Amino acid sequence: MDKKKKPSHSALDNSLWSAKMLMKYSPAAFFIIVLLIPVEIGMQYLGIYLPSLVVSEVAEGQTLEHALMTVGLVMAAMFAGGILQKALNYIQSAKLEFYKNRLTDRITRKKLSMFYQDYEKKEVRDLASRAERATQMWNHKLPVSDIVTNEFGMVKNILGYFLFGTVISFASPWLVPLLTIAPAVNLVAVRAFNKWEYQHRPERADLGRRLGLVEELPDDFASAKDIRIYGMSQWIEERYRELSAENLIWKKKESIRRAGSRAADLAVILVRDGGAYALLISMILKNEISISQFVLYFSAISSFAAWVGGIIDCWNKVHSNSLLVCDYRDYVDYPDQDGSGSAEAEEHLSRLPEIVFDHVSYRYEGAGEDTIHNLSFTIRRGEKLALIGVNGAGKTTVVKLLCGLYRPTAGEIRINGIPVSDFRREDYYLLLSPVFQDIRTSFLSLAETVSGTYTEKTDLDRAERCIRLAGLGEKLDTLPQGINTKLDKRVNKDGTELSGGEAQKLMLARALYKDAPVLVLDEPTAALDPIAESNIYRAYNQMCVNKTSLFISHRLASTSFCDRILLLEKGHIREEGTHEELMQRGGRYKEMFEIQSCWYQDQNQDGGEKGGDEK
Amino acid sequence: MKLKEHVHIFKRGFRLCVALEKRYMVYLILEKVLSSLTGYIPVYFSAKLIDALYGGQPLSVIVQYVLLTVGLVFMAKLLAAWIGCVREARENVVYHNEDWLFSDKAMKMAYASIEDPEVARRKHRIRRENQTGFNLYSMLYNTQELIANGTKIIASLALTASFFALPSLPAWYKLALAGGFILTLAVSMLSVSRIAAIEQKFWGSCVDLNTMDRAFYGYIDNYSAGKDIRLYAMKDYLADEKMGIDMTYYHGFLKTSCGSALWTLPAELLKYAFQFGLYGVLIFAALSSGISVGDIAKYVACIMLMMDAAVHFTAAVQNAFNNNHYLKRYFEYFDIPNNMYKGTLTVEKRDDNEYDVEFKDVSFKYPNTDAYALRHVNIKFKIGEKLAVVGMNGSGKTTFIKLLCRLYDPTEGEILLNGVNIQKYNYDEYMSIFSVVFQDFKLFPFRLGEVVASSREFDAERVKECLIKANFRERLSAFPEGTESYLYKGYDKSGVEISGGEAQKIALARALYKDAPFIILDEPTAALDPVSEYEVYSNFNEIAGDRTAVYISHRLASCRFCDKIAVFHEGAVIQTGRHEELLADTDGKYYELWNVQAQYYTL
Repeated sequence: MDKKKKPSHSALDNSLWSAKMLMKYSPAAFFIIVLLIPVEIGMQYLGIYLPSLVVSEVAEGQTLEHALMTVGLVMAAMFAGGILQKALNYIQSAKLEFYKNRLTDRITRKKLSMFYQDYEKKEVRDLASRAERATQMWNHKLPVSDIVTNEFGMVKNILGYFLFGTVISFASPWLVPLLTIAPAVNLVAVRAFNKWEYQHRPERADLGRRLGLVEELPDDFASAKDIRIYGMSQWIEERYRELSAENLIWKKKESIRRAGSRAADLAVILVRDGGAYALLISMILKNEISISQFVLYFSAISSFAAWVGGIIDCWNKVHSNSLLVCDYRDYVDYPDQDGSGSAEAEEHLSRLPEIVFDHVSYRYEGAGEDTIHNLSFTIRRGEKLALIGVNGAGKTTVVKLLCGLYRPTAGEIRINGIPVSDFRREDYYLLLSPVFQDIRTSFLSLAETVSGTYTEKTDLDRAERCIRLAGLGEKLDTLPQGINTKLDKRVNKDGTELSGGEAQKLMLARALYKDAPVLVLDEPTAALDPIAESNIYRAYNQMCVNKTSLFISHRLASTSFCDRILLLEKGHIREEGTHEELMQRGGRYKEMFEIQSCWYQDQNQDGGEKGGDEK
Repeated sequence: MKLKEHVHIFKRGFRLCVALEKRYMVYLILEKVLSSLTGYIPVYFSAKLIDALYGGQPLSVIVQYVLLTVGLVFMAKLLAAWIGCVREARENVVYHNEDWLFSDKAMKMAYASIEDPEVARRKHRIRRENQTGFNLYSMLYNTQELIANGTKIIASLALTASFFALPSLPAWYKLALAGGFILTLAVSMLSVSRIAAIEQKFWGSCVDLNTMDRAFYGYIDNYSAGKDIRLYAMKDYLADEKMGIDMTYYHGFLKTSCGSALWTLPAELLKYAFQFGLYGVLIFAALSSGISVGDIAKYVACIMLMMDAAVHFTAAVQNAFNNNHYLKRYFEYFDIPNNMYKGTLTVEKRDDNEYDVEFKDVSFKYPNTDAYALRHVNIKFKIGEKLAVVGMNGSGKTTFIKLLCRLYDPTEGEILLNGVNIQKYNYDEYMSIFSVVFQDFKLFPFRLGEVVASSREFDAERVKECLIKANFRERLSAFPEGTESYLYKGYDKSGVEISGGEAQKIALARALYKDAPFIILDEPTAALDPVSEYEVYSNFNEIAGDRTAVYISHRLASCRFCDKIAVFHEGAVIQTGRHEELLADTDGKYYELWNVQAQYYTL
């Protein structure tokens, strides 16, 4: 489906664009590529000229001095060219690396700053990974630089084609078109193979994927336990052997076809060389050419196909790389859907904000119904509001909307009366300190994680204070490098690993460090033991002082310290009030609360029965 | 490493390659010998042809040479192409079989080794080295280089012997040529090995950069991180970090490239100088009627080919020596012993499930750590009893289970089964008395029946029974092919996706299918919402039946239906008893834990 879509830029456009980018980021690489064209053609020509020169010197009975002089001159030129070629190739590949880095940087920055709602979309993610493929070395291919080297490669091959064509046409002018057409036969065979391969690619890719999957099964701790307890190794091995046998069958089929395509290629060469020999020998016998010319022409004919093939090859590569360059440009130029606001955060940072959800709806792309529907509520200045509901009620979507990561499909969110979309996006983010439910730590140091920037720019005392306040003090004291200890042991050998609970606390420390006027806390205690859970609740309670805060949980008990509770169900508010009010009302909240609490109620009563009654 | 060890490791590597796919090696050798020889056909015959033309030989002789050149090249290349294709077909099999070695090792090594970070690091390292072309891949490459270039050297020698045997050529010409050859060869070899060393040093230094780079992408491509990065304004910082990684790589690469470029200079210079000298001597010989015109090209081609082959041959030898260091690590990993298999006693099969397990003063430290994870644990399992194990995170609950299931052996003390130390039993036999649902259990994406039976063959009826017992009946009816349906879409696209709660039920069915006298459930409700949690609690006794059961949780509510509760704290069992008894001890840990949780619910 995608294949039929017209590429956003033509191959020519992309070639010019790439050349321009290369000129901009690495002019050295650009000039080396251009310089190498005459050098490479010259080397090719000298390579076929030298043997014929030797033959002519000897055959024409020149003196040794004369022979050595001419051969020496040619070889000196070859030496100079050879050195230049080798050295420049080394430098060129390094310079292209620099060019690649610059282009990669643009992707990275785009990825880190684009509107989150877009960033999260599958199509945008796919585009991003395709764009990355354009800047990553893959099978010794690097599309963004290959497109440039191949467009110049085309120039080189065309020039070589004319040079060698001229040489050959001295022997016989009609040889040139004939030799140009011959590789076409080969092209047909190769295309037939490629077509077959393309048709069966999905099946083979699927087989490869399944093989990889089975091979990886025994590779993690969790399955390692199960494998031992349930004696699964034989089962998995059987699965592997079956796939492996299937794989071999495919590979055999593929190689038979490839052998066919190679045989066709060899047949063309057989005919070409046989024909060239016949023609040239007949010319010698008719005394139309000398033996040294025979040597020259024959080598020229043998290597002529390489120029034709080179032109076709470079053309194909420019086109295939062009598609990836399109992806790159599409991603880097991906329009910003949410970047029009201009209000600044400055004046809102120093006061307690009021947040209003005004008839807000949100529907995920492609979804049949709204996840959030016509939702209106207000978080008053300095209020602690709890938002509760079962999984799928839409709590996390509310958080993302509030954080400016999503933009409402309908309705408006206002902070201090100003619509969120009126803010400069990055300014709006300054107003919030969120702790999200799904925690992901990086490879940065504790201090860097907390401040979100370089150690040098971090207020280390403040960072340490926040880390201790969040309850990580004990852990901190065990680390020899203190708050400069890096996370992720795989990356940093002296690093440390945090447990789920510790990571949670670190995220909390980060929110403290930022100290923004709005605090958003999304259910954090699922993996914690009761005492740690209780401590976190207490810490949150302290943090909320002098902030407007939103607290999200599905452990209902924990929300009792909030000023007000909203019970969210299927994207709208079902109940609202304080804990006591909601318990008195005897609605859904009370019901949920009692299911959770039945085990902890009066010890003499059988919890199971009571819970059953509630249901 | 001593030479003997080098030879030993190389041989072992070669044997391994053969074992991975026997025919691959045979085809590889045939293909390389054949394709190396093919290059000499036109060299040999075109010399003959030029001489024939030059000497005005009859057309029939000329035609014969042409036909021989073109025909032999065609046939040799065709044959080589055929063998090459057959070889390529098996190449993929070699790679997969090699990957499988790691999978197989992962399944067969002691569990303690699996969790040992040192073992993981070693494995990571050799796998990474594999990817950068060392170990087995280098082994294959070196083998083919040795074969191809060895063949070329022999062929070149055969074709140039006549030149050196030439009586009309003064001896000092020959000596000078031989000397020049050796000098050029020596410098070329030096240059190749220097460049290889420079590049290897660079690639070696990139290992950390690559790890860093992968971690970077792992982080920025994560949705959760995406939110953090925006809300905590980390864009410029992270982008600069990435640029730092890339620029470090670039600078290293540039330096390497310049170094390599410099080292090519002397070798290239000598090569051209030697070739010029060679031409000089040959032209001299031709002019003085020692050799023919055609021979000049032949000898130059052969000698230069030999030079090239010799350089590559020695490079391959050097490479092989070098690679042996990697291979040594490679084999060391596969030689990691598994001490779990020393026991030989069989576990008596008993219908009455009278398996008596006892922990006697068991202490345990994880390998390479100083702190005890378990301290002086004494517990005796009563047959048919339901035991709850509770405690805070890190109190040793899961470690206790790992020891019970012999995933680890105790550091001190012993665990007895019917009075005999469990290490004396055959490992597989001992495993057969436990069914465990670990907190982080894993279901493989194969057919539902296979997954429940943990085997390729399964009894569909019994699988259904177990699934129904595990409360999976309703969901089962939605599986299009019942127990033949694949789980998840990962392996089979038509598979059925299931939720975390459903996966938990299947894991439970798997435990039931095994029908072992011990059933152990580790934190089965952590991921469940209140209603599902309630279901599990109320069904537990029914599911466990008359088996001895162990239930681990940090939600204390779950303890109320167990016969006995063991409270773990900092690796030790500090309290045991029934719920009411433990709650009565208001100074105890259990009371504290209970109240922390209960306070929110008792208003």
